[in-house]
Amino acid sequence: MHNDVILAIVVATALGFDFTNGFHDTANVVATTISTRALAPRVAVGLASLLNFVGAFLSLKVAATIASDIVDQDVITTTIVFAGLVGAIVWNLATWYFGLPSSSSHALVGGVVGATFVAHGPGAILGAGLVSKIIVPAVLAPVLAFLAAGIAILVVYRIVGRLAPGPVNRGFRLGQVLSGGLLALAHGTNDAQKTMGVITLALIANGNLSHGHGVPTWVVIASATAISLGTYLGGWRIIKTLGTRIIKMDPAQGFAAQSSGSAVILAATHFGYPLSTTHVISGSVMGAGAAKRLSAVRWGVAGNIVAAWVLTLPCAAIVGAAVYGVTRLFGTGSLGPIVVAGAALVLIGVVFARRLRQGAAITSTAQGAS
Amino acid sequence: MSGSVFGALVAPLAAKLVDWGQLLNVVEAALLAGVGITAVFALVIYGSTRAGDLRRRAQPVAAGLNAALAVVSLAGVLAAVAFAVSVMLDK
Repeated sequence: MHNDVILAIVVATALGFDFTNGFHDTANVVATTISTRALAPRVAVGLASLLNFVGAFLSLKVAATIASDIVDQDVITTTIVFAGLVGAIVWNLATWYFGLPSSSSHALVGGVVGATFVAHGPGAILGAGLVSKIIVPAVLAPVLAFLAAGIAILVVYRIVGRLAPGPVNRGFRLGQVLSGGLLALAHGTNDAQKTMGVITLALIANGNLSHGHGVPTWVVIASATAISLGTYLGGWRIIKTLGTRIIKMDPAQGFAAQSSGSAVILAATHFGYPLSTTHVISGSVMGAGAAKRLSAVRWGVAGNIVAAWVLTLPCAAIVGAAVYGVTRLFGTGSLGPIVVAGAALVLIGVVFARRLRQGAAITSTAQGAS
Repeated sequence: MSGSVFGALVAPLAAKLVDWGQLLNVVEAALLAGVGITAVFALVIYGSTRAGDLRRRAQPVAAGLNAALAVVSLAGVLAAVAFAVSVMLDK
């Protein structure tokens, strides 16, 4: 009975995380489309929401990686998964509050690893999987996206550089509907699967599924719905940071950034790498800007984003470890997760209330940019 | 010294832990698709814009060739997107 209550809390928390993932991350997908005025903000967000939902059904390889390649399934408990999720949500909220596009994916992995470390020591962490599937791709992905977008925009300028800017801009704005859609689809395939992986891990830990079992259909549908809703309802602060603060983009740069970002995410997803879509799109936006003119990138803002990237895994791990410790103060039953979940809800409410009070100007600026 | 430490300890460990071949596939596919789709779409815009200009200057053959370039390039972009989605459907 206790275990089922904890499982229910874990599933609810995971879907809450998925919602915040959509709220926090998916805005990255539409930032360039809005910044270059290819689509109005509400249309861009609505389209991204729909395509994220569709994308979540396309692949399950990343979910398998999260469920089996990061921590030892034999020692995982639902309380560990819960603590990891809360660690990720708290870190996501903190970076969202300050408008920094950090990685929800790495926050999730960091939280689960931190909680597992405190519960069972380093032996329960699958170091090879963590290095191979998370850390190396984390370093590689933004660099790859930066290079791809940089080369792509140089090729574009070579091809259309002597044409009148009017038709070129109109053409690339139209193209951004396609590239933005592809990016949203790619995002749905990679990000929604992380929640699917965590819920599957919790179901295995609780004995509802056997080891190595695939992702149940209801988990896929629930995760797709949560990320899609999150996408639709949120993210204006991150849109502003990515769309206007890093660089001012022309439609060709926006198209290059989105196409390159999609290519990196889709290629990685195909091989089961749970990439940070935030890292990828930030890298491609910077690449598209730097290739045109190095000074076009606001390197101070970019530096803040890089700092958030570096801090995400360890900070989420520390929060996940702390949450696990606090949860265990109440014993091994369901009281700990109930108390912590209640406290987390209060924290979320306070943070949202504060941000909404301060956020009106930012929202109107982002909309005004359309 | 640091170079020898890397050679003796880090490089073999990295080779053991990381599937570099698979990562290289990701790098190749991402660069090819990212740069390729963007470049081919630029050809769509180039072809269609030039076709319009040449038609106005009463040069129908050149206009037709540029229009054909735009159509073929657009088909290439759509095929690439369809291929990307079909790859994703390979669960």
